Parts: sequence; structure tokens; C-alpha cells
Amino acid sequence: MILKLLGWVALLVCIAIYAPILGLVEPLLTLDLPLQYQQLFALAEFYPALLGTLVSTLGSLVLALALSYWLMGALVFTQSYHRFTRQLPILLAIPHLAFAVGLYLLLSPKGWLERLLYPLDIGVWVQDSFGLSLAVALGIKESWFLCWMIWSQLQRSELADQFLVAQTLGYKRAQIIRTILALQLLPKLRWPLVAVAAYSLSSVEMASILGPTHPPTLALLAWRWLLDPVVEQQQLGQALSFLLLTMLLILVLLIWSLPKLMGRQNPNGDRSKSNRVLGRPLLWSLLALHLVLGLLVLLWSVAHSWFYPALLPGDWSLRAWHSLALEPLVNSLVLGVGAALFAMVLVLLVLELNPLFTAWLLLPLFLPVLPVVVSQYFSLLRLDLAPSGWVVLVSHLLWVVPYVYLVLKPAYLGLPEHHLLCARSLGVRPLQLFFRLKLPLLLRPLSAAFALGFSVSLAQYLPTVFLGGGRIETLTTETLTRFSGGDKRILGAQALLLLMVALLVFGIAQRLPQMIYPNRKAMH
Amino acid sequence: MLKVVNVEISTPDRRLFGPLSFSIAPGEIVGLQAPSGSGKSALLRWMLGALPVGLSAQGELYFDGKRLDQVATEARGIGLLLQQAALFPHLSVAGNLQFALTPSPSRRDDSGKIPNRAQRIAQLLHSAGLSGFESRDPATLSGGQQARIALLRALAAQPSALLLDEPFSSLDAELRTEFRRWVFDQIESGDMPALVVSHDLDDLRDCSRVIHLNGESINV
Repeated sequence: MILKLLGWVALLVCIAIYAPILGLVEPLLTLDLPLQYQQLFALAEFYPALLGTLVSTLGSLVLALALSYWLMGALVFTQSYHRFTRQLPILLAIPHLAFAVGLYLLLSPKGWLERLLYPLDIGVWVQDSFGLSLAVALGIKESWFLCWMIWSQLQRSELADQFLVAQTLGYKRAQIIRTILALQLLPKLRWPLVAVAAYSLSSVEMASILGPTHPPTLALLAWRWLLDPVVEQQQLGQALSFLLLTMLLILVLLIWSLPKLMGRQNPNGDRSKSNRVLGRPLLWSLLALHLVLGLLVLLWSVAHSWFYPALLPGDWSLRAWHSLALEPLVNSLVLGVGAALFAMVLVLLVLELNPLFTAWLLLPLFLPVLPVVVSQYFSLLRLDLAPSGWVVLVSHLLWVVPYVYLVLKPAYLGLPEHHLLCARSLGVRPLQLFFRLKLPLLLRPLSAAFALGFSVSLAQYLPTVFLGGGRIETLTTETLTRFSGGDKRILGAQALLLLMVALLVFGIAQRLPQMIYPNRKAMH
Repeated sequence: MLKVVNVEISTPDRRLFGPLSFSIAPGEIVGLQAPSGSGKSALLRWMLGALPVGLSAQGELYFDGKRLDQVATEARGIGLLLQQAALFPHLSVAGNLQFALTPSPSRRDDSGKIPNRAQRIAQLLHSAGLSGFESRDPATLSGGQQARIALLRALAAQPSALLLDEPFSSLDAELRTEFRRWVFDQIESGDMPALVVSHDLDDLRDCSRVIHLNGESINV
């Protein structure tokens, strides 16, 4: 009874957190959209910004899909596959912003790659006007998410059986990927692809560092206009963020028609047309890239002087670390831990109330962040609330809850029925069952959900700045501030701190089941 | 002749079974019986070159004197029939069979002609009493029909040996007997060695020999 009651309360809280999504249609009611768009389309900077946005979004989608297919297809059901999928969460835990800073330090003018190639005088670039560098960065980063989604699909035994049967029929890996796995997986990857498109389309953090600058992407343009004190500019920003939503809808239609566009490949029985997939060299290259980026961030954070074209710093110093403020770290930890724990409680209680009809909790993953944040901001004004840490925490929940739900729902539904039945036959009441059996059995997914929820909160930039009124500083907002400052040493230290916090919390969460149940192998 | 020599399969903690040696003559059907978790499916997967992650194996596998245990799964020429039909759901029945056929057939039909692809599929379906099923969606077939297509698909690739992992356990009792007889007839007429993993005594009774894996004691 108490659980049911709490479940209803949690459901109402979730509805309140998600309510600003309804405000997405508000520009249709409050703005003269035809007039706004007329002004927008008359701007010379609009078209290059549109091009940069389309290239970075479509490019990142294609690259992420190609990389994830390539990697998973090449490694699936091998010894390396097992090791790779176990390490996937670490790659997922790397904050987008830390990755972008690393790439910037590698590829920017006078960056490490230009230093490495210095005698050859080969130009290296980021922030190109077509958004290609942004597309590559987003594509690589999002490919780990798609790999994770593919992995969860491949857990289904029938795909594993089909793969083995196709092998026994004489087909090589590349052919099986093309004719059996790719086509069956594509319809299952529609929603993850929409999530990638939504993120790429409205990414402000990565676009600030790696995207085109004059003009920037549409999301950045909208963001700047929304922060402008002139009302007309704000309205233009609102109209542009609504345009991003419309672009996402078009992308959704495109993604939905992808399986039909790719068509069915009728096999002709030819086993000879097979290339080697070279999955392991690709994986090692990508892992090496991540390692290099991590090292670069580390080197810059402890560099005192690092003159061009030296490959290593001339002098070392911890000055950059001393200049870092403590407040962003504390705020990030409080917000991350608070949002993750609160989201876990909400999701568990909603699942306990009724695990069905809860898929709507995933909705924010498929919406571009910028228009949603604008809607959250207008909700705040309507409620006459002042920007504060609490408001920021609640705004983070809109993105933390869906990720926590993504991890917890399958685990909750997969709770062993016989264990629960056994306990109930022993006279255990629902509340006791929840605390004494379900929660311990869910410890591993709860740890994973906490780590993911924390990293999602840590990565939030737009809601933190907008809903915090610019007064709540976190590691993410501080990293972007440091990027604008232009000192690569402080930028390196700040990005490394962001990365370390994300990986540390992930590492603790991963070891938590072993720490709590050291002598229970099945619980690890 | 399919020959297994001194195979031993272990988890990181313990040895599942072995060393085990046996051979299967062309057209011979050998049964494999063992309690759950004793490694019988692992043995099949090792013979296919697809040992599950976490297991290790030692031993040798030969077909007609050629060593196979270092050869890739797709190059071993060993067919597989599973408990689940594992039909490719995005392909039609004909598409599933076409997937298994080689582009150029090596066998002439009764009239001495080399049949084309569609004719070969029609012949295969006719042999299973499923004529006219070419364009059917595998998901709309009954369990028995799916099982037949799965075997036809395995045979269409002209394997040199066939491994069957609980192939009849998803069928009801009546269908099971009929299907088992049909499968065994196909194997015997194809003159290929076959190993059948099963718990069912009726399945094993129809085999020419049965290998019992029971912990570390093995009776052939």
C-alpha cells in the first residue's frame, strides 16, 4: 500500500519534471513564426550555419553508424568482443566536453598533430566552416553509444544462433554482417539513432570547441540570440530553436525510412566476395586516439612553458591546477549525486507502480536539448521561481531520469520470478520484498544507473547555465569558460578534472557490488 | 570419417570432460547424452570452431584425415541444426535456402541436368513436402515446418558432416517422431557423419551408437 502510494507520488513528480516538454509547441502560439522565419532566411549567416549543422549532424550519424557496425560486426562473438563490451561503459563515461577539449588540443592550429607533422608543413584544422571536424568528433563519441545499443540487441540468443548457422553455411564475417545482422539491427536502432541526431543537432558544448565559428552551427546561433538582452533577438532565437525541432522531425522520418531505403539484399550464395573486416586495427586506433587525447590534456595541465613546435613541454608546473576553483567541483558532485539518486528513486517507484506504459520516460532522449531548455526556462518564469541550485537539479532530472530508466527497466523486468514467488510464499510483504530482495538483486544495475545518471548530470551545460541564471558553476560550465579564456594549461587541467571525476564515479559504481557482497560471486 | 581425438574442455575453475576420443563413419548417426552443464553443447561448439567465451579446449578434430580444429568455422564444412530453427527472419523461405546454396551446383539431378537456383529450391522444398512455400515468411510457418526448412538449409550447403543440438526438443511428441525419422533418413541418404545431442531416449534409440558424458567418466 505504501509502495503504491509512493509510486503515485513518484509518477506525479515525473509528470511535473516532464511538463516543460509540452511547452515545445509554445512558439506556434506566441510567435509570429512566418515573420520570424522570413527574417531568419534573410540573414546571410543563416545558410552557412545551416550547412554546418546539416554536415555535422548527418555526418556524425553516418560515421557513428558505420563505426559501430564495423566494430561490432568485426568483433562479435570473439574473445575480443567479450573484453570490448565489458570496457564499453568506460568509453561511454568519458564526457563529451573532455573528449572535445582533447581533440582541440590535438588538431587546433599549433596543436600536437601540427607539431608532430611540423617538418612536413601540413596544415591541420578544427572549427572548419563545413562542420566536418565536429561531425568526426560527434561520430566517434556517439559510436560507443550505438555499440552499446547493438550489444544489447545481440544479447538476444536468436541473433547469435543465426550468426553461427551462417558461419556453418560457409559465410565469412563481413558477409554475415552485411546480409544478416545489419538489416535486422537497423530497425532496432531507430530510436538510438534519433537520440544521436537530437544530440548532434543541438550540441552547444562540442560545437563551441570544434564547430564552425563564423557563423557557428544553428544551435550555437540560437543559443547566442536567446542570451541577447534584445527581445527581438530572443524571439529569433526561439524561432530558430523551433526550427531545430522541425529539422529533427525530418531526420526522424529519414531514420524511419532507412531500412526500406537500404532494401533487402537477396543472397546469391557467393561466399568468395569477402573482405577482411579489420575490426581490431580499427578498435586499437580509436582506443589509441582516446589515450593520446587523455595524455595531451594531462600534459597541458602540468606544462609551464610549451613552445611551438616542441612535442613536449619545456618546463613543468602545477600552476594551472592551483588556479582551479573548488566550487564547480563541489557543485558538480552535489548535483550529480543528487540527480542520480533522486532519479533512481523515482524510476524504481514508478516501475514498482506499473512497469508497463512507462516508455514515455525516454522521451527527452529524442528531443533536441536547446528548445527543451528554453521551454524549461519559460516554465520557471511562469512559476515565478528564481534561478537556483534546486531548479538546476530539477532541470537535470529531465535528462537523468530517462537514462536511469534505460538501465533499470530491463533489469527490473528481468528480476527472477521464482525468487520473488518463493519469498512471497514465505510470507514476505511487498514492502519487505522490495527492500530485502528486489533492491539487493538490482544492486548491479542500480550501480550502473547511478554512474550513468551522474555522468549525464555532470555533462549538462545548457540547463545549468539557463536555469541557474549563470550563477551555478559546474565542471562543465567552467571548462567552456576556460576554453574562452584561451589558456590551454588551465583548459587542460579543467578538462582533466572533469574526466577524472566522471571516471572515478564510474569506477566506484562498477566496484560497488563486489565491495558490498565480496563473497557472493553471482552478485558481482 | 569425422574423428575427435583427445578433446578436453574446461572452464577456468574445472575440467568439464575429457580427454574424449571417438569417430563417426559416413552415414552413421551417433548420439551424445549428458547431464546439463557437462559440456555437451560446448563440445559441439568446439567442433564448429565457436567455443563459448570463458571455456578452453584441447584436442584435435579430423575429417577424412584433414585436420579441422585450426580451421575457421565457415571453412570447416560442418553443418548445424539447433533446437531453434534460427531461420533468418528478414528473408523468405526461398531466401533462407538460397543463402545456403552455392552459386554453381555440383550435383546433377535425375535427368542429368544441372538445375538452376529456383529449381534447386523447388526440389529441396518438394523433398520436405513443402512445395510452393518459396515466398512464405518464416514467421508464419509452424514449428515443424520451420524445423524442416532449417534442416533443408543446412543440407543445401552440402556439408561434409552434420551436428544437431537438441534438434527435436521444441516439437510435440507426434511431430517429433516423424521429423526425427525424416532427418535421419536425409542424413543416411546423404552419407554424412552426424552427431546428435539429446536428452530424449527415443532420439538416442534411433542412433547407431550413444556417447554418455557423465562428469569425467565417458562411455562410448
